[in-house]
Amino acid sequence: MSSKTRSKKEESPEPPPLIPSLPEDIIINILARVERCYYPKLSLVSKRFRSLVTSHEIYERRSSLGCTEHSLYVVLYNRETGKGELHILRRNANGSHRLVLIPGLPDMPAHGSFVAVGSRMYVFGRLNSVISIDCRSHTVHLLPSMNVSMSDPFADIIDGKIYVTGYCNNTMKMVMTVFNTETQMWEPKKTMPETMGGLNMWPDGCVVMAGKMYTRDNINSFVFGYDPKESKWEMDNMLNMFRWRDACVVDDVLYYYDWGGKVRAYDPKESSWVVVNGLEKLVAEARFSDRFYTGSYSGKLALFFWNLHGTRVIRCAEISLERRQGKEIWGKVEWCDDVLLGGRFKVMKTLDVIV
Amino acid sequence: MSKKMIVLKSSEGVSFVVEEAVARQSKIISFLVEEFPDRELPLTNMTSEILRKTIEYCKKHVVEDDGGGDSSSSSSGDLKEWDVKFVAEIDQPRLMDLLMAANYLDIPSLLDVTCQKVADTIAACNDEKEIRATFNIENDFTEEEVEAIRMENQYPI
Repeated sequence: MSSKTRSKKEESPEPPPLIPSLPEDIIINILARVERCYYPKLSLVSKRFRSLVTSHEIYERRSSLGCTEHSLYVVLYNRETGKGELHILRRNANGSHRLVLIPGLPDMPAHGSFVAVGSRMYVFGRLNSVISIDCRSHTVHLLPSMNVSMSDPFADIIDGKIYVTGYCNNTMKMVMTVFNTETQMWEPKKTMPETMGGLNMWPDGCVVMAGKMYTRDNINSFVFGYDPKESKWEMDNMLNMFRWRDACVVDDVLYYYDWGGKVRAYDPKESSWVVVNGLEKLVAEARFSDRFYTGSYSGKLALFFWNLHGTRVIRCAEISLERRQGKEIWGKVEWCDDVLLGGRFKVMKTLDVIV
Repeated sequence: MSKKMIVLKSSEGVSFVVEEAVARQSKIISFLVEEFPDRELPLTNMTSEILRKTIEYCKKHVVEDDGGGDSSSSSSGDLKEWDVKFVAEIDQPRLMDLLMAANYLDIPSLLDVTCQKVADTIAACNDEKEIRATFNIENDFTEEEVEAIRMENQYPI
């Protein structure tokens, strides 16, 4: 049809390759192998291509072929509107990176909790509302509400179960409830064991390492670890050695940016803290910021840093990690870009989603 | 120590004598060999050129799968490298024919490498126009529709 194709094939009597004549199954097999960042380009090719790249079949095929990719989703709190927004980290054509707002989603709760499970994200809001977002199509599903009302919940996942913990509204007592992501149902209500009941806890997020969930109270300065196998909370003094917050976990090791200008790591197997080497240049630059967030993504770190006041820029560095001589951990900055310009934002949570 | 041979016939009527183990990588041929032993198998929708290429691929892969003989030293990494070179040397129209042959004969690993090569070609195209031209796809969008999709595409999918 186009002169370009024809002129190429002048010496050959065969017709040009016809993708439209291929069976649907083969076209899906081909398109599922194309990186997702090219899908906008594919959606402009033809109506059939457009409907295929948004179909469930293509995402199912991506997982069966092992062609899925990690995408970093970022929940930002917009200080100007007082609302939470969901952004995605994208690579520009020139290789730099930026955060892009995902349109058409409800506001993210400013005091919510977020958990990524495969291609899905769970959002636990104030009181007992729960939604899940299918990140393949960015569609929202309403889930059965929590069987208990709680404020400022924190949540994380262990073995397919999301443990949601927070204050029960009227009694000021902490409660925990469990959502089974396989059955999409809440399990019978669980209350906080006695060991924790006596303390007035101000949890500051949580992380999961080696099958245990840890939460830190930065006001009273203590760390509790929860083992779901024993349904027990226990104090962890080693993990309480540093005042970590906005931390993440890669391969069962906790990482956070220490205000002193270091990225620290804690390995629960060794019960030891180390400073991540090789990041001197990055931390020298980051020290001019006053807000930090460390997220994990595809086995790497994503360190976000910005200023609460002053320049309205959020910078992000992607750091790959390497273990040397047992305990030593070395980081390598893959890139460091201004990912968001303008507006007054704060990084609340990052999520490693697989699509 | 003669190995069992079978005969495959291309659309031009050219006969190819192939070791049965080589040809059996095709699930279809495997089935046909059992149903019709000692018969020539006509592959009426495959040209000699594509059949030759398909046999070349199967020969390489059967040796590796045996794990015996001279080539036993090649690792799966070497085989992957060979696959990449194999599809890189084929031009676009023949690649599509080979892909269809892999689909028709049901040779999953050949279908994998050919589909991957087409996917890489698509990704390497600069824009949707180049994809359409390379694969002879008709643009069935109106200009307004294209504009609307472009607007949507400013945001991530």
